[in-house]
Amino acid sequence: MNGERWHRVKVLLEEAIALDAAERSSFLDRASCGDSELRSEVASLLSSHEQAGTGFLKTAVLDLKQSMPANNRAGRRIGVYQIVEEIGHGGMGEVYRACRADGQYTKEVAVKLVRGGFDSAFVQERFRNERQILASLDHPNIGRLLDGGTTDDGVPYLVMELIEGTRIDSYCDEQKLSISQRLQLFRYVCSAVQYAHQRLVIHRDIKPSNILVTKEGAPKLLDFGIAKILDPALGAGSETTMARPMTPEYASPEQIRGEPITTASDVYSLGVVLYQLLTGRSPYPGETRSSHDLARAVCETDPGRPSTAVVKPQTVRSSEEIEHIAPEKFSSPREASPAKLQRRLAGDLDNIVLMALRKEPQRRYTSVEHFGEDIRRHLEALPVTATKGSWRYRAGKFVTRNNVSVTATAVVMLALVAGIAATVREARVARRQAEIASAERVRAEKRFNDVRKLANSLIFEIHDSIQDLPGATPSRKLLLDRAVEYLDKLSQDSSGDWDLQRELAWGYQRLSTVQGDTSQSNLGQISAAEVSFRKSIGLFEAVAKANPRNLTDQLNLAMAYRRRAFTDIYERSGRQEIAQALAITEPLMQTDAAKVEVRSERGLELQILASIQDATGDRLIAVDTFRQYLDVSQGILRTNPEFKDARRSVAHAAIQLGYQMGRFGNRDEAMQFLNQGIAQFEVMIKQGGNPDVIRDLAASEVRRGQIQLMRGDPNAALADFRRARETTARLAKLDPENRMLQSDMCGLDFDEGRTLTIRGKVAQGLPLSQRSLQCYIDLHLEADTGPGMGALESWIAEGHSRMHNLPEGLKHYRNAATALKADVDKYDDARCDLAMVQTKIGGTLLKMGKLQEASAEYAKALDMAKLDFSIEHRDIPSLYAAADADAGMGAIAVAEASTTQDLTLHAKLEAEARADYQKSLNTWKQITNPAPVSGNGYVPGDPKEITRQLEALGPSTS
Amino acid sequence: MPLVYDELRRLARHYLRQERNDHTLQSTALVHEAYLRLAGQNPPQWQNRAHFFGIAAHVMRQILVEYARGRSTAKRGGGAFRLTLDEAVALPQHLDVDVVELDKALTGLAELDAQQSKIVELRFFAGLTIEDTSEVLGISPATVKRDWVTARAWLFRAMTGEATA
Repeated sequence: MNGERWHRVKVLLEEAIALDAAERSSFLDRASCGDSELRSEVASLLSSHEQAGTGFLKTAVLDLKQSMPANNRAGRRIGVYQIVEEIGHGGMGEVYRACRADGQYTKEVAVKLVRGGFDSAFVQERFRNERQILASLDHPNIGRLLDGGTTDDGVPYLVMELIEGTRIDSYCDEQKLSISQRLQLFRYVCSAVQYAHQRLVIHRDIKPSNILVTKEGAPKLLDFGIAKILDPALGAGSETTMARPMTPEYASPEQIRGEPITTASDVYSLGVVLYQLLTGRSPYPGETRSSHDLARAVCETDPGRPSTAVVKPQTVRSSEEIEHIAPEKFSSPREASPAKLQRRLAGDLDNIVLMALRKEPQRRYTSVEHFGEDIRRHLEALPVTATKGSWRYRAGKFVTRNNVSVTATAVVMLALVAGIAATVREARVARRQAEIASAERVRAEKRFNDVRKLANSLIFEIHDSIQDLPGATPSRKLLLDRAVEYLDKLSQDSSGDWDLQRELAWGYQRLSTVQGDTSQSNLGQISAAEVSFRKSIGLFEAVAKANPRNLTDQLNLAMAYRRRAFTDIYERSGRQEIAQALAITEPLMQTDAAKVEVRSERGLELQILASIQDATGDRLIAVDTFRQYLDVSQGILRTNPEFKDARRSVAHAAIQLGYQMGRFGNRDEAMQFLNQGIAQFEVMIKQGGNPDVIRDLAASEVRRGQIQLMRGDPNAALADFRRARETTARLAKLDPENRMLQSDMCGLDFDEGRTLTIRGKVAQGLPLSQRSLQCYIDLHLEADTGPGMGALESWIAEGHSRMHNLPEGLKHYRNAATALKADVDKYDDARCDLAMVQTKIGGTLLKMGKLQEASAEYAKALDMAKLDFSIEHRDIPSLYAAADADAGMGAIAVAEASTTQDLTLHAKLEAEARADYQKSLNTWKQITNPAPVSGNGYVPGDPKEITRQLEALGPSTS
Repeated sequence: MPLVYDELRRLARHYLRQERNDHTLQSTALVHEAYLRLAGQNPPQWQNRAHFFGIAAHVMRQILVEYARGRSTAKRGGGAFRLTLDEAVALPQHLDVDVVELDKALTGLAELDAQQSKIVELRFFAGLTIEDTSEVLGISPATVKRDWVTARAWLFRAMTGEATA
């Protein structure tokens, strides 16, 4: 159908829908004008319309508009408050003048709606935590927080004392207050902030618009503690957001950089306010005011002395024009002239302001009290404590310390982490102070818990969200370093606090994952990941040891060991780590097996143990372990069918068991398990399984096909591969960008190709083998995805060899050997495969008549087959390789014997051949139930053929 | 615009990667919030409200489709068969509609009538009412309503696959 046609259909459809059902048919007959195709099209859509009912697409994914600034609410009610008028709005939301509608409280109040998608439950929770503290802030210069709640449409709001007044900066200018008068006024502000600090409340967002001066001339600080209520970084919810209330112009460097916010941060913001009151300018003047430039300036540029600033014109860029504002404009409300103002500010006031504005919190006034006190001393002409910073200080120790180049994004992002440690410390101090009333201590505890919960996750969330940004690496490194610092700092005095230690353990756990994630753009922090993991385990161990009856603690420790073992699956340490995990769940399986979590953990451990056993050559022991894993999974499905992925685990376990058994044990019995697993997947798909389950089914069919091949039934194998191909192709078509599915398709080429080659249809098989190799190369998949280069090259070589193109076969076998050598140290499969490929190289050279070289390859193969785990565990694939290599050695001796005239040598060579063949047969005997295709997918020699060769040599003549 | 867009997608991907199922709805809210937040930043990335809604709806669609598809190419080790271990990622479960199917169908509809596809996008992925949608697209509410009804019928058929258009 094209657009034009659709338009015609649409018009008819609209009209038809508007009609009663009974009239539709006759309407369509008339309106379609004999165009039967058009008629049936409209009729079909009509029926879809009926079927869709009202439910289809009815519920939108989200309501975007709800969070958009709403229309004026004047006259409406918010909670018990009747809105009178809007009195302001800003980034956070609107502020309304309101009065209580129920008449309980006649005074007018300010109602502040909190917009920007703040989760209302979260704000309420924060509000509940803070309201006691904030309501207790009873100071003449602090605007009170009265109430809070959520509107009918889910917008959080706060109710505050209504302050009618003018911003402090405008007030001073309008009233033309002198410098001394401004300082007096400012001292009231300081006393209010100091009062709050003594009650462990930090304002966090001091700025002129939050300081109003009433008609009576009294300054009032607004929004005390609001920044904290609204600070997602300090919330308990998981729906953390990426920004927090902060006004960059007044924010301290530590706030911008995302460092602890302390009372010193308020000192800094007060310093900025004072700077502006005295000079009329920002400490960081600039033509442009992008938040990035500003953030940079705050962190890196030393502010100019107030006395110097006031004699310079101010450059302002407004839209396209650059405007120079004469210094008189700023000085006139303050002093007679800029020069006079300069003299007034030089000395004490320069020093006082700059001391408050120091980059390092610890170099500022130690408290607001000291700040205010110095102003008083100045006003009373007493010596002030503020001095010029030392040269070293001004030279900017700061700059050298922070020369990490952070992108604008990172600066903003880092700001989000701010305050965490400070609040934590603050709360910890509070809860140690015995004199604090117990109710307050509980609150402090609560606050502390909220904070640290989020503190851990926030850092990682930011990390994840910036990790793909170009140039973010230094910032990410900074973040991770900060995370380390933060966690280390907290763990220092965490002894005995098990809750904290639990969370720290998880924090380190996550940190280690991020640090060690090599699949992401690499931060080169593998050893740091190691350190974090060790710290995490250390904490889990301590907690588990101290709380032997806490099941979760025991399981956490087991989980940590298990995850460790999983990353070390190819390392020797993996075995030990999984043993530690199993040692924990072992007794729990006796005492707490009723708990599904215990059995689930046990199952996962068994699964990893089996994988480790397989990777290190204990193939048959792994079969038993997979069997136990299946038992555990089946138990969970029986008792807790609703447990996460219960059925899927059974299916996975059955497939893993069947596959392992098929490769190394009883291939017929293995079929039962493979069939069982496949049946489970089919059940899940019938119940509406998602694409992952469908893919699992296809992958399982592939495994069954591979075992069929080993059973000597290539036709059945081919049927499985083709079924899997059909399913996978369907999935891949729906999800064309899914590389996993593309990789599966490459793998199917590989399996089908070699099956055809084994069946003797080399002309069909070889091109598929070649295609699969190319397919993996084109996908740029990592070396360990799919069958691997070694296997891919081997089957191309096998194809060429079977087509009697020996040099080409040799070339590809050598490619295979090169690829496998890279992994030889990693796992037994690569060792066994390499031994097998070397045997194949030897065989090819033998056929080419290059006896010397062939002999050398066989010798290498024998060495490889006997290496390490392989010999220790009599690893089955290595036995196939060794048997073939010895047989090859025998064949070489026979060939050499046939070329010599020397009878003694001839006899000696024949004796060697007999010995080699015998060795090969002895090795074959160790393989129970030899397969026509080995567990690693290679076609080995035939023991019967060796017996024939041996018999052909005749009895020993000696 | 590209930065905002990418950033959102990243945020979304991150949140949707969380293992716990109960994150799903919150994550939508979060993306939404992040979007608004970014929208509030200067310099504004869009010309007007309509433009904003248009982009936001489209971004939400992308995010959800990506989410629904979101499975990374997990690594398999050593050629050995290892089905998903415990690090497996859960799929969304809360949406009644198969977003991937809907996305496909919408793309198909856009070929016939781009405006209709857009209407569905705005209504379903951004929750706009008929009035809002008409405002955003600069067309009459009656047109939106008619187009919405026929688009639904078309999409329903396309997604249930009972006939091919």
